[in-house]
Amino acid sequence: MGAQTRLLPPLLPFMFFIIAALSHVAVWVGLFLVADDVAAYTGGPGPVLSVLHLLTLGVFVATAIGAAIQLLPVATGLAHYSLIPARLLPWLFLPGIALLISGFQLTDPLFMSAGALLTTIALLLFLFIVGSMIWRATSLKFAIAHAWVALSALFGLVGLGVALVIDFEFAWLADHQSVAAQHLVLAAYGFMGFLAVGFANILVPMFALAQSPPERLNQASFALLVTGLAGVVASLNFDVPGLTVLAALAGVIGAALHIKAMTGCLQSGMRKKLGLSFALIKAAWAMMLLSMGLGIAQALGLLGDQGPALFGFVLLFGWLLTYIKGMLQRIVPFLAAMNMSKRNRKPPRLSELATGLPLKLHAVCHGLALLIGVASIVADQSDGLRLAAAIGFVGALGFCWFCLSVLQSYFSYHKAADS
Amino acid sequence: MSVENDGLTRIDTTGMEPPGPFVSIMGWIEANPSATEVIVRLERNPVYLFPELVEINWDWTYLDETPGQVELHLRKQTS
Repeated sequence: MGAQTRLLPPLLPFMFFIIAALSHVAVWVGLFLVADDVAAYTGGPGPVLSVLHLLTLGVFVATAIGAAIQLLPVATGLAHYSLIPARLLPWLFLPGIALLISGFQLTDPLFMSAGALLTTIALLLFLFIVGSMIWRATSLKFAIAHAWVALSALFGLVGLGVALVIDFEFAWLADHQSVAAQHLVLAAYGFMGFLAVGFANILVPMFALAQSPPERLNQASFALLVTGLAGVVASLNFDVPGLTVLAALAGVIGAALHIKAMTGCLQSGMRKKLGLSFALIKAAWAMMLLSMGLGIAQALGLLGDQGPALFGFVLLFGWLLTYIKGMLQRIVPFLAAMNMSKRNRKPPRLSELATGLPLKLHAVCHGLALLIGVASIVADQSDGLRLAAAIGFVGALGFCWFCLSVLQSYFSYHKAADS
Repeated sequence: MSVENDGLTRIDTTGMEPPGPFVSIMGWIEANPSATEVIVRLERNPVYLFPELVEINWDWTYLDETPGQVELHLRKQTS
């Protein structure tokens, strides 16, 4: 099979990365506007839930879709059965999340229901696209096993999400908070977490020029992470707090083994200077563990009134957002460059595609925003949270600048090659 | 990895799982900074490799491109 049949029309994954970059900017604006309500937020529709889903769907899921639909065919060597589902995806996903987020913001049942319906169809279509590909994969067994768990979690979180939206209108769930907690765990640790860990097993050795981690370490990490995820969701469902803590501890050990495997790759790899992206990725790994520790402390009732907000901020902004931005810094120029190798024109260097200044701006602002954000939530200072959001906003603009400069290079290259 | 009668090193990555082919080829180039050319054999067209080769100023030509087998001659650019 020729390589080009494994490469999607490049603007398709890029469309999702642009959605993610713009949503990233909007999330910090949203956080600025809802800063007064964050510390006391315990659930329910309204502006906080709206900003939360702008982050999870607009940034995280959009990035996951863009990366998965392009990286999986390249990694597995398998082509999409058909490009029609992938082409259809943005037309369902974009209006779906726009309606859902507007519905949460306005507490409008019609918008929420219509948005949930379209988003559910889009995510099930994504599940079909990825599932039909990894079903045929004969290599990369660890990454594929992680992908199956991620897809299972996606299926579960979509179902619970629909149940929660219906509950806003009909109040039919016995325990809305418990279902919302399961939805969050499946989304963050299940879907996004397993995708992050699975992709890391391929991308980190590749970037560091290292051998893959020892198989037994990967097996132990995977088994513990699955046990942790399943145990936490089951314990939340059956309201067994003791089991939540035990299962979460299994997850912590699994995550620590994964980080040990990855840092082992970085230490043994031939390429030591991995740049700003890996500074973000290493910070994200630390916050992955911290988020789990905070989750356990929250389950034990040790965090006080700001516990849910602190846990949520470290989990979503600290771990997942930092991790995604670190990986995207490497992936976006790489995907663009893979589509810039016309025979009549030499492709540009990766370093020419990714200019340093916007990424430095993003990294500094993101780090500051996280530190100030955590301190503000702990101290229950909404002015501090607004300051964090303003700084994060500047960083997000830097990241947008980076994405747009890569896109501009891509168009300039093809214009010159076609002329 | 082998060195044939023509004096060129050949890296055969067939049967390796990703990112093995990438790591083997780029790792060999990084470990041999004075090397100027190498022949590599892969199971499929390494679209992920080309951006990295451009970055380090190496070029490639196809020696064989049949289903299930790609052979490339990689050369360090002189200018």
